[in-house]
Amino acid sequence: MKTPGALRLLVTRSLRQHALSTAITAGSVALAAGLVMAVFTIKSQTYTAFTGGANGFDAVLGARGSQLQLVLNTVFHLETSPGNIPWSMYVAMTQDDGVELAVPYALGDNYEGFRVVGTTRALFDRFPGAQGVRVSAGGRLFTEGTREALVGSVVAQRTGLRVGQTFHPGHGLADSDNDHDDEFTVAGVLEATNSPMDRVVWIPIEGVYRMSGHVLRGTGRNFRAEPGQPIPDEHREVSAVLLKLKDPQAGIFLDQAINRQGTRATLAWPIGRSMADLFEKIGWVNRILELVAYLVVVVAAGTILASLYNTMNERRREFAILRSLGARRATVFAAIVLESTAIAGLGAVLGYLVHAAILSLAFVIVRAQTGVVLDVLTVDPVLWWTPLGMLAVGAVAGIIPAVKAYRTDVATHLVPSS
Amino acid sequence: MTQPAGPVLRLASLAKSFRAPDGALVPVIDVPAFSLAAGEQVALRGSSGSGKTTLLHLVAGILTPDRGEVWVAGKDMAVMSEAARDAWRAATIGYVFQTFNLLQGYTALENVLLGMMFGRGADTAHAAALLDRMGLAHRRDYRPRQLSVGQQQRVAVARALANRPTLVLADEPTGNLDPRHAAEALELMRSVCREHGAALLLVSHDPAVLARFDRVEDLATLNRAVDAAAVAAEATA
Repeated sequence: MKTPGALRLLVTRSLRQHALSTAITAGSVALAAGLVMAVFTIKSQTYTAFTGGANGFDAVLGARGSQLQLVLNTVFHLETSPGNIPWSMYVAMTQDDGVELAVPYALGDNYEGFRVVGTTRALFDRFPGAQGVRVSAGGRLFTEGTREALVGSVVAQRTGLRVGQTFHPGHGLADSDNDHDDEFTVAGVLEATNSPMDRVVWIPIEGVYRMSGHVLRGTGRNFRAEPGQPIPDEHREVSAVLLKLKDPQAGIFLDQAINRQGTRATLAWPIGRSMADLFEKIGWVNRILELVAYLVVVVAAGTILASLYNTMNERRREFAILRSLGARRATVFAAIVLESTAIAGLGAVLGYLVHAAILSLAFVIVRAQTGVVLDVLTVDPVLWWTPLGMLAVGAVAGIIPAVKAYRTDVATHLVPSS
Repeated sequence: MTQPAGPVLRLASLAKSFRAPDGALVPVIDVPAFSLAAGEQVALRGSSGSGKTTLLHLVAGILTPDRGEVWVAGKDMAVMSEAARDAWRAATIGYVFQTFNLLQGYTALENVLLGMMFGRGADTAHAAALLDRMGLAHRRDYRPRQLSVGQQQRVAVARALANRPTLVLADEPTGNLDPRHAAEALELMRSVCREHGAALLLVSHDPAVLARFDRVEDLATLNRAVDAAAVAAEATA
């Protein structure tokens, strides 16, 4: 064991001797590393979560307007509805050769702030998402044409709704005291899908049409459904239609027919592109967050530099003694650079804890706000290049103190000359 | 123990000056010739201002001379690069300082091991044996401030001998000890140097220390740069 062993001993002993300073400095590095990892991971995870799955559907058909608004409203149950389209457009979609599955959505009500969405059992029976949809034990899907409801897992958790319980939807998408008289019974609770579906109360679409106070304007004139009387199709409206296409070619044809040649509706296809456009538009927010994270790294590097530099004067005698024992200037220089690198390394390891804490917080917030679940267990490349980067930053930060140690004059800092 | 042929230390025309605050060059060392045979033990009598520490620093390669030669174990350190001097010092010279210069954050054993790490390489068994020989078997894991002054001095001696040097330099090694402990420490140092075949060059102004050496050189005589009058005046003060 020669110089490498000496370096190891010098570095470990110095870190221990300056334990408080080491801990504080490593803490600042941990914050920086954790912040960088969290910013990039959250950015990557949110992008993937919001642009990736869309629970297996390819497109959304809705009222003429913004594709992004349509997707946010239909897939993520955020934003307001851009309006309604006639039932006939839904029927046309079910008959289109390129459409594998069309699911109508009708919305406009809430229960304690969670959206009440009218749809058909096809959404659950033929759910195209890879994970599928399952009803928790003791429950079942709602029966078409009844006042039954299927409750998302988050809704059940937050509101306490259980199978067999009844509730009155409130008018509008926001929570208010303006409840409908209609009473719905919970037929089942969906198992968690880790998607925005968990934050929705699902009822038969007929239930929306027949909800007290609701007016259908499919023909342009007001129509109120009468109890026991069928509702003519021409009066029916839907807020949107979720589409599963047979192939991408179908998307091209529908896009051409609806968006370019048509004037009554909008097709958001592919769904992920609309969300990608959104991320593109708000990309500057990410860039600012990245910049802030990098600035914190610079501050952490400054902290390493300052903490080591401040000990150089008191350690000059130590360096002089080491030199008198035969240590070269380069050895002393390397010891300081290694020490700063070790502090950065220690901080980078602790940074994983900071990263985990921030990601957990983001996981909870994003899930609570959107129902989207971030995949916190995915190993992003940032999780290895950030620690490596912090090691490099630590090494660079150690150079100035190391130069000071390098320049220590041995004779001056040993015993006083006689 | 067999000893290598020729002197282990030879100084020739060695000179060193320092610049005074007024800019003038002040000669501190001017030694025409000096040599020390392998395994020999020599005391240099030197008081404050005689340049003894500077001389030892020149011998150890910590300082470079303005001119002259410093032959240690067959190599002239005066012409070596700094890195080469560092390596040669680690390999051939042990240094016992007046204030011991132990590293405070390290145990006695680690202090000795550090002395080895820049030379022949750490040998824990050898370091432990040295401390045992110095009567510190029960203090290996103590830090300097947990040791008495005498014990610290013995750790310093053990560290100086750790690389099996051919030359041990000692600068007032007993200066911080009371007379009884000083005598014991000196005898221990001398006997351990003999056991290891290391030559010993010790500087001191303590008559009791000097009296124990067969060969005592007067630095005031050896070093022509010394202001003899000032030394004499100080000695009688």
